[in-house]
Amino acid sequence: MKKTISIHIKGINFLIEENAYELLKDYLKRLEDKLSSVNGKEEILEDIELRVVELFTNRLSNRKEVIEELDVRQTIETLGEPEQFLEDESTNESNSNQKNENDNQENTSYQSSEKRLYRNIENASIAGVCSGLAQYFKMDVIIVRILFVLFTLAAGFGVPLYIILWVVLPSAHTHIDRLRMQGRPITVENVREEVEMAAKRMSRNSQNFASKIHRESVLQKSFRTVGQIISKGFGGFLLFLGVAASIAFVIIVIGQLGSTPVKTADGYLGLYNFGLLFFEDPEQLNWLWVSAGAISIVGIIWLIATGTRLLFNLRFPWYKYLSRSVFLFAIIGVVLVFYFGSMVAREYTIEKSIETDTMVSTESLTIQTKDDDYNVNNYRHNGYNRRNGRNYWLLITKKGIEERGVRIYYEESPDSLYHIIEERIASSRNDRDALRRAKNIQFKITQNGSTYSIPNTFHFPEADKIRNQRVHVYIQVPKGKSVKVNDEFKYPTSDEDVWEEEPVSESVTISL
Amino acid sequence: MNAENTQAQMRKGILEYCILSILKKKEAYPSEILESLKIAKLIVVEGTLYPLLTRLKNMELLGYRWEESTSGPPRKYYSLTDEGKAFHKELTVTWSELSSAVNQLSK
Repeated sequence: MKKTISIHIKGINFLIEENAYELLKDYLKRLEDKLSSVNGKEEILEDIELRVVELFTNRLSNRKEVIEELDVRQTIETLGEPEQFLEDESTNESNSNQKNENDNQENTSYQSSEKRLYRNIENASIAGVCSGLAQYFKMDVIIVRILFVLFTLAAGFGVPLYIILWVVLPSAHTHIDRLRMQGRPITVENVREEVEMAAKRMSRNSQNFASKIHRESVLQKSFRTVGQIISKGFGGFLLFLGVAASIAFVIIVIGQLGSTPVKTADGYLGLYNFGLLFFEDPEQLNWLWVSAGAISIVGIIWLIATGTRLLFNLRFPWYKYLSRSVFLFAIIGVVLVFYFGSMVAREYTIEKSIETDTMVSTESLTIQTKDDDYNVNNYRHNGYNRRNGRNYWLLITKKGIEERGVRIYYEESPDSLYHIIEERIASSRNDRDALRRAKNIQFKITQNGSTYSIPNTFHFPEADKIRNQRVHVYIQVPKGKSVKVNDEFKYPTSDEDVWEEEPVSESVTISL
Repeated sequence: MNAENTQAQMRKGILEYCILSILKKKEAYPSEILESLKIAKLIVVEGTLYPLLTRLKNMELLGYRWEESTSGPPRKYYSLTDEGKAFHKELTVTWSELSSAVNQLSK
């Protein structure tokens, strides 16, 4: 009686006669020996074992439950002796090596063998940008890295440049990529060589790893540690930025927090309503709003993803798509900014002003100003800005948009009369609109005897939008006469941010 | 030199291209590929296929996925990668040039 044993191949159970089993074992052993010099030995063996299981399964039936010697023999015959098909493999290899020496490589290259810039992730310190550049320009990677560091120290654009290249350049994942990176033609032989090199690199890496720990000098080690710390620190910084930006995005953009220096009866204006103060057509603002929102969201996701990736050393399969879309969105963003920017800028191209001249025939003139940014001191200190405790730029009231700050200039009169000249200025894209907006500025100097009170605010309708509306007042003083200026303002206390309750008056007499 | 050796060499030369062609139509597991190749009398012993498949896979011309089978062990379904498709395209050009050249010469 023949002895039967139970074997397990690839998760399937078989009953097999002992001598049949010996035969099979011997075959697989011979196969393994023959394959020892071939790349991908394990996989070839696995595939063949799977085929053995299939062939065995086909031979078994209800009536036949045990694999016999004949079954194994026939299976081996079907598969072939290792010599039969593996000799082929090695002949194949030597043939192609000969071919390689001829110069008809170009004929076998199947895709553009044009050199391309990649990130060399297999020899990377951070993301392989320097390493990829080094491959492209056939330079030593150390030189490229030193250049990057010098760029950063000298001009400061090394880091942003690195980040841009990181986002833009694809990483050389496949062997074909690696060949393009090195500018070698993509021939079957080169691909094979590259695959073999990769296998060698991998085994070398794993072998070296243990000995590396001992062999690495203190200096190298500390460099590596510093590199890791910088990379992690940078990751943490990006993550922080991303989180901060997302919080800001939620509060300012979605929550419409009053984040702009424009005050209304209900508090400060949100960003969208602030935008409405500039755009003639709300539709344009809507476009800008949606696109800027989308760009911000993608940018925030990128910051968080990149930060997490660096900080925790993770790999996301979707990361490269994200990087591409960030790049795409950045381009769209730049285009949109230019488009809408020029749209708004056009509204400021033409400036028009209207002057009204009030002639005053009197012996002496008194000018009363109040709580003003630009006051008597302008005469001596042009542009001097006296702060007065307000913390908004514009105020929106029922009368329209109220803006503070009327510039007062003191000049010599061309004749023997005092002149008070009011100049209203506004911009727009054409003369007519600019002039209309200048006319719409409401500003009134009040007179009481020879005292003229100049308010420090003026209004214009909200529909006019913000078009650089300004009011200048020129006080022209005739020769030999003088003007008395009463200026009322609030003083800061010793604490710069707290202002005195009661205004202070200051009088100056100016003669020209 | 006997004809058998030359025949084997000829077959071997185009085997790679044929495997790619089979997989171009649809993904397949090794036994299916073997069947097509046997029908076309391109293969003598089955073992020839496996090193080739592994090599093509290592060149990233092929990819594979596992699929459970009801009647046996799990199956390894091979398919062409994008690079494999490009490679196949290139070989198709070469093959048509070759075959027309050979036909021309052997008329």
